[in-house]
Amino acid sequence: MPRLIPSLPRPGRGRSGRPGGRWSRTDILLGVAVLLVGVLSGAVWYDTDQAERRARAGREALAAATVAAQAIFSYDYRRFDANVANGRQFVTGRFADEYAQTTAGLKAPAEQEQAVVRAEVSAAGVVHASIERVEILLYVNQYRRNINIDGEKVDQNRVVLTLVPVDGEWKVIHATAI
Amino acid sequence: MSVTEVRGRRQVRRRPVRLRVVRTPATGAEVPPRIGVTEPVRPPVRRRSLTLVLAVVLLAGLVALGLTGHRWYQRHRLGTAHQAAIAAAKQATVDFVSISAASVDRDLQRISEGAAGDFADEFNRGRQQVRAAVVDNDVESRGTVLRAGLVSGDLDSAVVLVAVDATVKNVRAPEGRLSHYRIQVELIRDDDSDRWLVSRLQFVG
Repeated sequence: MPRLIPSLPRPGRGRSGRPGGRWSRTDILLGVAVLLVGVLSGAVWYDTDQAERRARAGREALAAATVAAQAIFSYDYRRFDANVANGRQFVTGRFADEYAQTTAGLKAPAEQEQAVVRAEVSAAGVVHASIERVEILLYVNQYRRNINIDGEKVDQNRVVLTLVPVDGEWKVIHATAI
Repeated sequence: MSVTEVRGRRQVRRRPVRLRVVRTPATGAEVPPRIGVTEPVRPPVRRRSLTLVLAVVLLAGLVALGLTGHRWYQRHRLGTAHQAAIAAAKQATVDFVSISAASVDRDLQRISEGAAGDFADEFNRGRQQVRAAVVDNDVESRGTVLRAGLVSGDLDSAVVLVAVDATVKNVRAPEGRLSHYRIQVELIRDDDSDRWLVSRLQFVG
């Protein structure tokens, strides 16, 4: 019977006597505004956070790439195994296998020619940065000495390194000379 | 039995009736509504406190939106500045290595228009010599950008690396020779035109 009498007060329905129960029109408008502002704030915060994380990824990968390039593009025939072990710390994925294969094939000729290659990064910049992947352009000079060369020769390379985060550290997953 | 119910059980729900039926406490019998026994028109304290809470939450939300919005805008401006600087650096380096005897004046003018500061002075000082060399050797050079990377940058200045290849034809190499360049460009943003101009361009050794 009370079902047909909307004006009768019922427990838990508020006491306004209106069909909206405890929510007045003002409350509903305020509630919607709170919801909209909340959603918008969340979206803006998320977008900014992503952009800042991308920027941070770029900075961290840029620093890591410079150190990594010097390690993986340098070797000294007198400390070849130690150099390779050091270089291995900076690589991951398929490039780690590639690096292992290349250095394994390089050891004998390097010792034979008494080769010493010292890599130096002249400049480096971020080509593209996402949270999970950063591409870095580096100008790498390789100073080469061996028994076939008088003095020292310099190769001026342009190298693109792709880095990914592995356990909080940026490692090289791809390298290419352009 | 209420007033509304008397009109029939199948009555469609209507707008709420403001006056209420009042029951006597002892018998539960209904008595007709009288002036003075209706509910108060002012919202109850509970409702007013809900409105207040919602208003405070909305205000806090608006403040939060203002703060995050400001941060977003700063980040957005920086991202836009970086993209504009990289685009300008790519264009400037392509212009710099793309010069042909047939269009030498236009080519040199384009480089000059994108230059500022020391680079502009330096370039304009040597401009006639470059023009003469290009015409005398019948040079035709066309460059393409392979990669560009941002070294550093803020809202008004940037340093960008641009790896460029160029095919250079001249009287000594009529078939063309491929040159690989490692270029670093420093740029500044011109406030008046909002353009990014090259203040320094160097081939990195």
